[in-house]
Amino acid sequence: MKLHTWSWLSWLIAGLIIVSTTRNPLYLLLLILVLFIIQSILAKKESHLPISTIKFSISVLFLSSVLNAFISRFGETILFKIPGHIPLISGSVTLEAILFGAINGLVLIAMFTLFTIINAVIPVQDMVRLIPHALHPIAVVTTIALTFIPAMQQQFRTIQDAQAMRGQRLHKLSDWLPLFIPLLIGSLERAMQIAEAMTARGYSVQPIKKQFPMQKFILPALLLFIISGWLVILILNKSVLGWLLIGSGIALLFSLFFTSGRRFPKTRFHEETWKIPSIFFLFTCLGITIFFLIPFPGKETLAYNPYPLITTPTISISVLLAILLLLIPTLLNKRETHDSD
Amino acid sequence: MKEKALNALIYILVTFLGIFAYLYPLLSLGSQNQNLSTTARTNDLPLMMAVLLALCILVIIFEIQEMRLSTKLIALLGVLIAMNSVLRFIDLTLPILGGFSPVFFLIMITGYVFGGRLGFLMGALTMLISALVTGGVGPWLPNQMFTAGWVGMSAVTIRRLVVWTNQENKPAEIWLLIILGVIWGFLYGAITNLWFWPFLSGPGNQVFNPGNSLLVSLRNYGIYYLATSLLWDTGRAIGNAVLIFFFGKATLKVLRRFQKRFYFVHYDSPIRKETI
Repeated sequence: MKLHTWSWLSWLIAGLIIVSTTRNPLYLLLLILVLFIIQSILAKKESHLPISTIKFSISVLFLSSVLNAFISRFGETILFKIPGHIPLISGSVTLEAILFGAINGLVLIAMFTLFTIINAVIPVQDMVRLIPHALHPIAVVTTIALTFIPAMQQQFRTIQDAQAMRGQRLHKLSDWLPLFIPLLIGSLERAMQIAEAMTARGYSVQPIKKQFPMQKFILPALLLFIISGWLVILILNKSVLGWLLIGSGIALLFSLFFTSGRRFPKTRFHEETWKIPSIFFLFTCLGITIFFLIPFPGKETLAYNPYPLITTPTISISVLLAILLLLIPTLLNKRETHDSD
Repeated sequence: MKEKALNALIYILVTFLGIFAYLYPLLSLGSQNQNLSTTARTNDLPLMMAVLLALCILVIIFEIQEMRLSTKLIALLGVLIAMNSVLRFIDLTLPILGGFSPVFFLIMITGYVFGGRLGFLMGALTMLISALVTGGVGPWLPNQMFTAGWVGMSAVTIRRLVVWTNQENKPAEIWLLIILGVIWGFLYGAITNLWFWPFLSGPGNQVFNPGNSLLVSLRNYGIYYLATSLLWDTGRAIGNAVLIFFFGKATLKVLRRFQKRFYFVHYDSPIRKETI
């Protein structure tokens, strides 16, 4: 089942919001478990969790805990003391420092796994399609580059074989020059051919509507909005006003993209359609995002700090359920497979 | 004139916003309420940085493309980026010498020959496309794109220096590029580390403590960088220098030859039209 790209992006945003709003190790552990389950089910042609994710997770968890234990000497539960005056080594190793490091590691693992899943479920072409229409020359550059990577690898191997037949061996770095320069020249010649083909197909003669006069001023204006918004939050500590300014800047940027995008005529060969599962998935993710962002009455704290003395993290059933809702794509996936059978 | 001033203003603001995004973790909060704000802030720092830098990249790319990229420049960029992405495979599959990466060589040379705008696009899009191909899309990506863009854009300063001192096609040109490569070898690591540095939170003289002054944070980051990244980045700096030393002259020659062809534009002569 192919869920809509924007639904997956809303899922990513919901996951990132969870990661950025809580440092409760229990919630983070549950989130990572959920992500591992999704990765195991959705990973292409693999029914088990990719080894690279497990290796990465173990190494990050170990390194962040150990590093923090040696960097931070705070905390009341002293596990052991290393005698002497060796920098970074000597001193008290506390349970709080290890837990703090482990929490940092969990955040990194969750973030990494979220993006690993997104990389696996959204095809590269769909990611390219996400480039705003206003940036269409950049989308063309990206498409050319993606198309030519395999050709470039093939050309590299061909040159390598040709040079090897002439007795060229790669012993030192300067031996790579007879490989690199023909590859570069061949690529640039190919670029000329692509440019001529594009011109021949009328790429550069498309009628383009003119910019409206104020458009040039919008760019600096929106930047000023964003910068002043951040400064208001940081210096004056007025978050509402600050976010209003930042929001205005971002709204200006999107409106600029919208109006600029309309200047270029476009053709779509393939358009993703919104089906009910994708819409349901999108709204669920929006719900999760709102749940974690808005401090409604009676909501338990998501924060957790092991310093100075370790305490048991609080658990809220509603938060646990909200995290479990991230599992929805696996259910939608199963249902569709059943239908198509 | 007005347009030039506007463009300059956009670049200044984007650079300011970019620097601000990088320094944001180091700035002290107005609030000194440590417990809750500190932990929440430590978590959102990398995402805030990613969002700010993504905005910067969108704005600057939008501004650059408004100069109407011709089909030749689009094709040139596409092919050079494809080539650089292939080079990045080497970087990812063979960790040869610490942080050594062959991608910066072509980014710098492109920026040097074709100008700062194309240099920025070359840097930023190389990181984007190689991330798409290798599954490396993540919150670190805007950071990498923006910094690599700066690498390409900064090469134009060397170009101006070379033209100003009349050192074109002379050994000094290569030596200046080597210096740039060495500087970026260290600087790239120092800038891109910032996205995860706040995660190494906790008290100590190497770590991020919200509420510290900018100078204290910079000192802590400096100590952290010297202790953990200097050796790794030395590999990148040496790699850049060696690649420019061995391949720089030949690559510059090839790119300059093609530059004339890529910038060749044919206009219909009004006289010819009249005679027809």
